[in-house]
Order: sequence, then C-alpha cells, then structure tokens
Amino acid sequence: MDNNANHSEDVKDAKPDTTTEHISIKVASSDNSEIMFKIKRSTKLAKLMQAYCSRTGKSSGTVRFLVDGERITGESTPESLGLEDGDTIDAMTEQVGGGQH
Amino acid sequence: MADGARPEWLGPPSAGTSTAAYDSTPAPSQATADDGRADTRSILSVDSSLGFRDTVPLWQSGRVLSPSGSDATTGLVAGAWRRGPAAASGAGKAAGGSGAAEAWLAQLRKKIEDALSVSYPAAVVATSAYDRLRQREESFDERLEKARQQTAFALPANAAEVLKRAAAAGFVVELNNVPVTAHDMATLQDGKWLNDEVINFYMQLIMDRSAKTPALPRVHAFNTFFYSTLCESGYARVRRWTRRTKLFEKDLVIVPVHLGVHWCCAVIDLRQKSIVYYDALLGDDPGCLQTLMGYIRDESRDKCGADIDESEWTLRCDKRIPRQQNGYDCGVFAVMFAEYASRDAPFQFSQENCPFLRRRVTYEIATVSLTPAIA
Repeated sequence: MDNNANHSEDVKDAKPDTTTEHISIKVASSDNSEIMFKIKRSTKLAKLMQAYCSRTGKSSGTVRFLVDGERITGESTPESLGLEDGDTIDAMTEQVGGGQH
Repeated sequence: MADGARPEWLGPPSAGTSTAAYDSTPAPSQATADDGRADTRSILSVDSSLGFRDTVPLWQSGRVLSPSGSDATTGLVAGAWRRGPAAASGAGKAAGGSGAAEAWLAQLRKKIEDALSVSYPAAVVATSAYDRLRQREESFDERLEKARQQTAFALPANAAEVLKRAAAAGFVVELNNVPVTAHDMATLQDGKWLNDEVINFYMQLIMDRSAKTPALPRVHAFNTFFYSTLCESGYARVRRWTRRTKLFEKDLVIVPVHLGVHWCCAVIDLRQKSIVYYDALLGDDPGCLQTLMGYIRDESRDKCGADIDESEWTLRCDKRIPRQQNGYDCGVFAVMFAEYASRDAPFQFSQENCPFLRRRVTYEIATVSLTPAIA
C-alpha cells in the first residue's frame, strides 16, 4: 500500500486511508469491450466476477477470468494477485468446437 | 497361438520357426525371412496381377512386413503417421507401451497380406476356404479391438468404478486454478463438442507430467485463449502471458487453436525450429503458422533481446495424421495431437479410437493424471 500512497493522493487528495484501499480494475472481454470496477485490495474477486456477469448479462459458468493468461479464482484478491491500480483482468467466453461439416 | 496355426492351404512352412513370425511378439527376423520366402510365389502373383513390378521378392520389397516393433520403418500406424526424425527417435524411448502394439500391427499387416495373397489350390473347396477366412476374420476382430486398447493405453481395471465415484461427487477437480465441473465433463460424452475447460485442463495435465518427468520433452502448453487473443489483439496483449515461463528453455510449445466451431492444435518445436499445424479435418492454415512465427519472433525480441533467424524455421500443415470423420470429435483429436506430441510419440490413434479416448480423457481428468506411464 505504501508504494501506492502517492498515486492515490494524486487522484483524490482527501481520505487517504480509504482511497489507498481501493483500486480500479479493468475487465476486458474477448470482444474488446471494457468495464472499470473499483474494488478494495482485500476484497475477494468473486464479488467483481459476479458484478461483471450481472452487468453484462453473462452466466457465470460461461466466463473465464484470466490475469496475464492465467486463470484466477474468486477466492483470490487484488492483493494476493499483486494487481495494481489500472490493471486488467481478461474475461473470456466459453469456447466449444466439434468440427466443420 | 491356437488361432495363428498355419492353415494348410498356405503351404508348409519352410522352417520350423516360421509360425513364430505369425504370432509371437516380437519374432526373430530370421523367422520373418523364412516365412516370407515360403509365401513368395503367392505374393508375386498378386503383385504382377496388379501390374506391379514382380522382380522384388517379398522380403526385400519393403520392411513393412517385419514384425519388429522397434524398427523405425516398421508399423502400419507409425509408418503412416510418422512426423519426422525427432518423432522417430523419440518413439522407441518415450512411447513405452507402443512397442507391443506396433509389433502387433506389423503382424496384423502380414496376416492381411497373407490372406490376400493366397493362391488357392484346386483341391480346396471354396466354401471351406470361406469358413476359414470367416474364422480368421473373427479372431482378427478380437485382436483388433485388443490392439486399439493397447494403442490407446488401456484404462486400469477399476476405471469404471473410479469414474462412477467421480461422477457422483460432481466431477469437480482443479489444477493450477483451472477448474473442471460436471458441465465441462459432460462435453466428453460421445457425440458432444469439447469445451475450453476440458482442453485447458488437459493442457495443464500435459505440462504437469512434463515437469515431473525428466525423460520427456520440456513442454509449455498455452490455453485456448492464447491463440484467439494473439490473433485479435496482437503480441502486446499476450506479452505478459509468459512472465513466469521461460519459453525458450522449453522443447515444445503447444498451442490449442480454436476456430469458431473447430479445434486444432499447433506445436512449436524449439529444438527443430519448426511449427506444425495439426487439423484433424486436414485443413490448411498458413495464417496460423505465420501468426505463431510472428509470436516467436516478438517473444524472442521481448524476452531475450535477440532476433531469430526465420529462414532456419520450417512451417507446415501436417496432413499425414489421424483424420476426423465426423462433425464432433475434433476436440478429442486436438488434445491427442498435443498429448502424443508432448511425448515425441507418433500419432497412434484414429477416428475409431475416439469413444475410448473420450473415456480415457474423462478418466485422466477425474484422476488428475495422464495414463501413459513414462519410466
């Protein structure tokens, strides 16, 4: 949190304690649409995932969340993943395939 | 042995050991030559009737009839689908279970050749020859089924029970955060289209086994979103996907390719500097090869600060591979291309194996380990 203190104060000069707690996370879907979320560093990402699904109307079973190509679970937090303000989470859509005939 | 007894209408074997070439595994090469010599006349008659040159004796016309499974030029399957020198050298070392199957296939091939090449003595009544052929065909079917299992690595005896228990528990497994649920496992039922979770989990299994087994090539397998992201958004968006992997320290990089409704698989071999594209429907995709070549170029620049010499690289779409013959099994082919390639093994499976391979993949995911045991 220390290393982000300056940055946070630049954005919002008041309420230093709570603002450093929150970061903005961009969720980018495979069709390149993006939604920004504000989330506490210590909040489980399951909350963000649910919010994203209800916002986009996607069923949670069909969306895969990745950070740098690696799957993340709802149990992880921005803190545990080392996510910084402005980082991106990819929201990929289920893929199926059988052949072309 | 009983079903391999030499029929009298084949003529007497020229040496006491010749029946060994029929059934024992593996037969000494001496026995093959003897056996071949005994059948020369009949083989040649078939060859000449087909308009082939008839001066080459059977035992010199090609080594395909040799029952020795370790021979790199031998084997119906291995020979037909061999993928290059690395595959040839790796096959003997890595595909431990395939030696017996290759030997058997060589024998099978010999049997078929024998059956086709017999010149029936006038004394043999057509009906009795027919009966014998029927018998032969039945034992052939039995052994073919056995070989399929062998080729595809049979599941343990308790597999059905294990799967039943896993299904009752809802099939929830996870490896490196990649989860699989009952919904995903249902895509492994016959006739269903495989989904990304199943394929991504299988890629984790392949990497996991490679990391634990020093004898195997060092493999990195991307997930199914890598290629689509690379295509749509370019290198920048996947640049960080290998931040925890030193890609150029690997031997093989496996890239599952999702094309809307179709699964393919590309394999980048960093040892041989090749990129090979495997489409079970035998499609061409030079664009995919170029995209991956571009990725290797950018990745090398970004991670190693070095330009690669692209003229050293060969790119190809391999067509001598098992072929999909329906509209739903491409995912099974794609994961099998990846699994076999990850062992440098020749592709010893076919469309007919797919129902079994679906069970095998289900079992492997449920038990979180791949079945081919590598010493």
